[in-house]
Order: sequence, then structure tokens, then C-alpha cells
Amino acid sequence: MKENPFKNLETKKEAPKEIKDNIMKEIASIKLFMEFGDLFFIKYPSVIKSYFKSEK
Amino acid sequence: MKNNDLLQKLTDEELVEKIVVHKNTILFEEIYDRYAQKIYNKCFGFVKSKEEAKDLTQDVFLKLFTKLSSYKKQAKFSTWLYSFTYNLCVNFVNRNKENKINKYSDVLKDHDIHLHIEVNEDSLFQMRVDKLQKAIELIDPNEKSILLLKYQDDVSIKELQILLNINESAVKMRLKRAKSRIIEIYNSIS
Repeated sequence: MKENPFKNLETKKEAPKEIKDNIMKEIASIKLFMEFGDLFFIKYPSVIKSYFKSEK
Repeated sequence: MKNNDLLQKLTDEELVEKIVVHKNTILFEEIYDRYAQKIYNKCFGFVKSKEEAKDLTQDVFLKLFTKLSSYKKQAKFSTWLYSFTYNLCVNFVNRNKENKINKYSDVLKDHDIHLHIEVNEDSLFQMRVDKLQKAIELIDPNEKSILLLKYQDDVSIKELQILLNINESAVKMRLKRAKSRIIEIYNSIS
């Protein structure tokens, strides 16, 4: 049976080391942002409610 | 060291489940280590420049962290991740309006009438790698991604239905068109 040529299309290069550092730094910021989002809009929606009430 | 051993024993699916619940970056690092090389090379196949492949790989993993909860275990995690990667690669290529691929594909659309020819897998497997490499660079990126999912990543028709969110006959039709196009482009290369 013939070998599938699609299997030989992919290169086998090493991913540059700096990609991991950049990703992990960015993810730390994203995580912080997500946690703030959770804090204000999911865990403590009353904070927002009371904020708007007090504005009126 | 013990923690590392424990991490390595977890399946991809178990890791993902924990990352979604705890947003744990150490667990995500493990996913990165398992797939970085594979994803980098898949990106490289779409852009052919080290810098662009680097940017695309970063983009894939950053989006992956925020979109992991959309993985519903209907397909293997690796399969889902490859499909996710191809989607981002296709978007990246399509953003580049000056590229040759779209111009070439537009020309091919005029010849759609010829694309109803049935292409069997034997004729696909008889293609020479160097010539196929050139042909795959010229095909529409959406067609390239379905061909790679099927013939490089061994994704089944059933999994393609789930990943592409289309029915079985639509999957088969897309595959048929992609196979016809690759053969047509392949044969046009001298």
C-alpha cells in the first residue's frame, strides 16, 4: 500500500523558546483580568447593583 | 518532581477539565509542553515564515486559554485543538488580501464544473510529497484545513461533523471538493 504523502508535509521544527515565556506572561494577565471579571460580575453582582442605586 | 510525574499521568481531557475549573496556569503549561511543537509546525505550514508562525502559535495558545471551556469532549482533545488551530490559521491567511492563494482559488472557482469528478484515495496517496507541498500552498486555506484534518490528523467523518458543525453529507461534499481541487492544482504544476 502507498504511503500517505500528507503525513510527510508537516515540518518538525522546534518551537522557539521565547514563545512559552511570552504566553505564560500574557496568561497571567488574562487570568487576573478574568478573576476581576468574576469578582465583580458573578460573585458580587450586588456590588454593582448597590453602586448604581447610590448613583441615583 | 512528584508533582511533575502526577501532571504527566493526567490525560489531556483531565487536564483541560481542571484548567477550566481552577484557571491553573501550571496545568496550562503542561498542555503547552505537550502540544507546542505540533502547533508551531501546523502554523508554519500556513505561513512559511518563522516570525509569523511564532505570532500565530502565541495567538493559538492565548485564545485556547480563554476558550477551553468550549471544549465539550465530543472529540479527542488533540483533534479539537488541531481544528481550533486551523481555524485561526485560516483567519490569519484570509486577512492577508494580497496573497496568491485567494487569486488562484478565484480562478479555480470558474472551473467548478469539473470538480464533481470522484477522487479516490489511491490517487491522493500516489501524489509526490514535494509536488503536493506546492499544491497545498496554493489551495484555499479552508480546503487545506479539511484535507489536513482528514489525511494528516486522521480525523474521522463523524468527528469532522462535530468540529465543523455540519451534517455527514456536507462533510463528504466538502471533502470531495477539496480532493478534486488538490488533484487539479497538483496536475497543473509542472
